[in-house]
Amino acid sequence: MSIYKKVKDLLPEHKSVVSDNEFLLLDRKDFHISQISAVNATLMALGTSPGYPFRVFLGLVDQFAAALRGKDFNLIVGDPSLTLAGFQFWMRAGGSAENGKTYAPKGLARFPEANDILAELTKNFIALADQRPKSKPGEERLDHFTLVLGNTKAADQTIFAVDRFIEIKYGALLLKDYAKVGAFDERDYLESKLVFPTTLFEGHALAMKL
Amino acid sequence: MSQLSDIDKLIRADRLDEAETLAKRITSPVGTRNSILGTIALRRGGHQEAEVFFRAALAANEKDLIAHTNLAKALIQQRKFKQALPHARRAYESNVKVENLALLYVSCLAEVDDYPEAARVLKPFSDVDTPSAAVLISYSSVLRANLQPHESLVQVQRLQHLYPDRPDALRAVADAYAELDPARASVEFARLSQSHDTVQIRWNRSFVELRLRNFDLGWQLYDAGLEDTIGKIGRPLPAQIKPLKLVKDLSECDPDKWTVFSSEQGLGDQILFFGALAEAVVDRPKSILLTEERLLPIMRRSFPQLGCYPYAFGINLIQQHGAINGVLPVGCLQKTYRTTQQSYSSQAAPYLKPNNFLIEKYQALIKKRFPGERLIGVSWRGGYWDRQKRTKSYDFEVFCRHLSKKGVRLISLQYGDVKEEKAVATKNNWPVTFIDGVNFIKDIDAWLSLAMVCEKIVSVSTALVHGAAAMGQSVELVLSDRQAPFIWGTLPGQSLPYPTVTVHRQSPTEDPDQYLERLAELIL
Repeated sequence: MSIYKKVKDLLPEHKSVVSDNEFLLLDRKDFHISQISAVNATLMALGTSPGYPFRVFLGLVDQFAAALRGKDFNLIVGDPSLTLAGFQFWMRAGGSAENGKTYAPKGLARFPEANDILAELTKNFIALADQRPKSKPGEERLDHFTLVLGNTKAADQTIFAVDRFIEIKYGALLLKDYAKVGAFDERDYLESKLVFPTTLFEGHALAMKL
Repeated sequence: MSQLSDIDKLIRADRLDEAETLAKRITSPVGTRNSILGTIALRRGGHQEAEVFFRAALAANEKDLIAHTNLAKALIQQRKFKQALPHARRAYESNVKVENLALLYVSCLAEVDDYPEAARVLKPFSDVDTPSAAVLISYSSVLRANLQPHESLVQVQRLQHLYPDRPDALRAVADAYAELDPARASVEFARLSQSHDTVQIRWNRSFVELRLRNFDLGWQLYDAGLEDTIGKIGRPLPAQIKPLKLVKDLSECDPDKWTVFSSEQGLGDQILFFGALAEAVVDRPKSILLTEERLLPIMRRSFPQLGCYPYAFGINLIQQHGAINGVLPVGCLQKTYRTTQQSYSSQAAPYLKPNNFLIEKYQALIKKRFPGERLIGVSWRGGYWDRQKRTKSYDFEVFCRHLSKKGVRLISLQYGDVKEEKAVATKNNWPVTFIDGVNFIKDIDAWLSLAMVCEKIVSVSTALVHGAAAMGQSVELVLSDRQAPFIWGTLPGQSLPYPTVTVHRQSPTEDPDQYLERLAELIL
């Protein structure tokens, strides 16, 4: 957090700064890295400390899960790099053998070593996920909310997630780092499919179907 | 005018829809219209809606005393006592002879801990031949909270004489004795419970029974503190874990599912309750603990077999019904594992593990600075509620004057603002060292490590006593002649939960100066 330290020293007392290696926000409170954040609690327990943009991404995922209030759901993890985000959604939405279905056609990444309840939940999340290459929600599950998580480091990642989003009846598409310089936003493709996501300050894109 | 009279009649007849229709036809003055609509909302139980109308009425006419009164009522119903206070005061001051307005004002004062003012307001209403039961109940309660237990008892005896059959009068009697004579209070509560077994009575009675060391019954009754009706003076759980299913008894927990233990209340209570945690973890190995972030390093070190997480982790588990049993506040473990005095004494070993790295670091620094001196950790102020502060705390000058002996170095372990005390110590050239750079409220691990560096602790009843004692430190506990937290019982001597804590009590014939002088001779 070198930018933070440099700027903080120059600011008057009580001026809040939230920063990362990529950005800096003045007069914003740091609720992401605090003991009130459910996402932060997960990250601490798993011993990982991602940057702010990914924390915001996880925060969005977390809120979609909370909004479901225990209802059945589909989760499509479009890239193994989004395994942690997928897990946060699944855990928070009440994922289990009886509730929720995860599809990870590109596979899931390994979790950092966890203990106790987290070890059990991460193990269940992976064991219950359908990781077959063409896995996706069947017709009989399309009435449930579906969250599609996609990355944008390569054009095929973006297109893959958008294609999954087009197929669902209702739900949300979250594209990580969509507006980042160098990301494969594939705007022409999205527009051709009439998908017009909104972009958040941190660079993620969000599209909804309700 | 006749329109207002008609509306008033309709409201009194509870014909609220008709009253509302008429009220909405009033175009001016707007304040009157809003005041009436607020009254209708209040009658319907719509306290938030009423608040909006009364605020609008006051915006139009700041002198509308009915709006002030009713806004106070609407706010009190929502437990917004601080916001209600100025409106209740305004209403009361408009006519200090109206009993209902006085009681309204007192209910706000009591919630903001201003008991002296509450007693002043109620006194004239009590100083009549036949005060109302409401006045006597409120006045006796206020006097008790204002540390005037004998005066409170006088009012309670009048209440008993004038209104012998009222259940709230019976409860007031039991509450009054709780302060003065716990054994008598226990009898009164037992009698009362046969006919009126309410949550409030169970909660108040729990302290009496626990103080008398009737632990089996006391801890059962203590669960009443988890009910919403008891509010913030009970055992309110952190918001992050409130959505989880509440489990009050370990026997209800399926051993194949995860049991989520949770800290509760202030730091001292939490640490006391952790005394039963090791036994619970043996009985339910599939368990985790949710606690304050500042306690995590200590708890992880002390219970390596137990997953310890901040409260917010509980949010992640709200929908994990299949994986978890629910949340069990650690206070609830007491009724399983601490039902007798024997159950305390048989388990009275240190259960929090000190931070040896920090202790060695502080030891090196402090002993180098004060070679050959006896290091005594001190804390003279405690309590969260105003009443607790007044019953627990001692004036710094009185506390440290007698402890400042030759060869003794007092290490201040007092949390909070100590600027004034620093100045007093410097002025008197007392051997008191204040530690800069460690926040005793946030950095509990450092605080308790400093406590462990000392030869012993001399402290009023605060979290420091629980934390240091749970780590095995020797503590001289300084209690006043007022009622102390129930866990210290009613007698002096070795404490029940912590064998390294010696309880000292100020005798009613001693003043604080004499008491501290006697203590200093005894313990240093």
